[in-house]
Amino acid sequence: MSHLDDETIALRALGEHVGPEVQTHLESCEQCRAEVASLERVTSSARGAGAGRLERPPERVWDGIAEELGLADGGAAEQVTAAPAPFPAAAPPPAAGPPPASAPAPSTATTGASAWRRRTAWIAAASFLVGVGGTVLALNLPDRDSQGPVVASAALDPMPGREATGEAAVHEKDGRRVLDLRLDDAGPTGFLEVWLLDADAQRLVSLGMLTGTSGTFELPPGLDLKEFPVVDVSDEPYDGNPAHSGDSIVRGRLA
Amino acid sequence: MGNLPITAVGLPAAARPREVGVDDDESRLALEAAFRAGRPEAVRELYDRWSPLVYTIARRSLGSVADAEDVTQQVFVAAWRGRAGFDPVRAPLQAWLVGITRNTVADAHARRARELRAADAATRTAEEVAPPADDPTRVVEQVVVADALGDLGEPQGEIMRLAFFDELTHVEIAERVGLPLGTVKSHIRRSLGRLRTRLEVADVAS
Repeated sequence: MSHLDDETIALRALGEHVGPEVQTHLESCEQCRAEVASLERVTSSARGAGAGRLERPPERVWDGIAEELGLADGGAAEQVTAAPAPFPAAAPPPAAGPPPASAPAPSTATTGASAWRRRTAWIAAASFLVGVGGTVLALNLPDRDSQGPVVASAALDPMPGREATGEAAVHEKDGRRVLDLRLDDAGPTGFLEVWLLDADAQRLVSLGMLTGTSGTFELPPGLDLKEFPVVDVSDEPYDGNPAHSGDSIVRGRLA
Repeated sequence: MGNLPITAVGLPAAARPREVGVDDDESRLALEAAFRAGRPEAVRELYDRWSPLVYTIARRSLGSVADAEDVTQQVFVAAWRGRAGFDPVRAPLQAWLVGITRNTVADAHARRARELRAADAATRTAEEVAPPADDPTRVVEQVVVADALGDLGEPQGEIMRLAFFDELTHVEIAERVGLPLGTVKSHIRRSLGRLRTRLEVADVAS
């Protein structure tokens, strides 16, 4: 007999009576039995005592977190996903608690990539929060002077079958915008090209070649990042065709 | 190359950005990116989205409101300070948070056991005071599924609630919600699959 169809298995996992022939099949078929069992785990979890509703903690829990992390006024923080323009005017200094610079965990990662990530993170943090530790400001001021503040950034994730990851950040200074891009590990690739794509990957703008694992690309004036929010790095063959090869290695959305 | 105009090329479907899709995925990826980039406003959004999940797991496995509040605070503080250790390739943000929650709850249990032993030595009656606590693994599974159920959208959420809690058959559900039998069966199959995926992802992080 062929295996049970997925709908029958789902109904059986919910405890419905699905007929004697289904029972007979299940007795002899380990594969279908395992499928029912794994869905039954969902059913029994859902039916577990009081599983229907989650409780929201009282707001004082957030107040404790904001204080411990030295976040100025988290309640007024902008929504990350709703607002593409990420940085509001400087918030008032935190009333209490250590500055975020004292957070120990990030310093345990010491690869170049995470150092780079941390640097952009602190530039972002510095434009968001007043009252950041003096050391951190001193470390980052040269970057801010030469590059201007970060207006958008993206984590670059590997495309299927690829392992490279990376980061991209757009800095703005004097009306010019520059995209800094860095790959953690490009892997065995040939000629890399950096693009901005629209959300549907139907239209694209080439920013230029990437030599090595990092590069700086000036954005054309008037280019709307909301229209082309996706950073893409492609592996291009030397075939004389200037179009995208369709072979992307990493992508990420600027936010 | 730099003066190449905007060109329309057909990228193969596999090369499309993974973040293009349902809103849910897109905003989740944006939040993950902001969190990894260390943008402080990401903490509040993280909290808004997942504090009920973290708090409910803690509340049910510890059986105490005060301890659950402490654990929730510790989880989000630890998540922010340890964000360098978050790798979205290994597990999404939610599963990573569940992993931190498990550890923090286990620590709270251990601390409580130590305190009880100390109190026990002093009074010999401490075990009577200890509130009954649910099996943490079981609690995590229940809360993760409850949370995922809330994300199903409608009518899938309503259909699954009728199937789980009212234990209606798919025939009864079809009558109740006024949808064809085939549609209800297909919603049930896909929704159960999605809930299972969330449960499995939570396993990965443990």
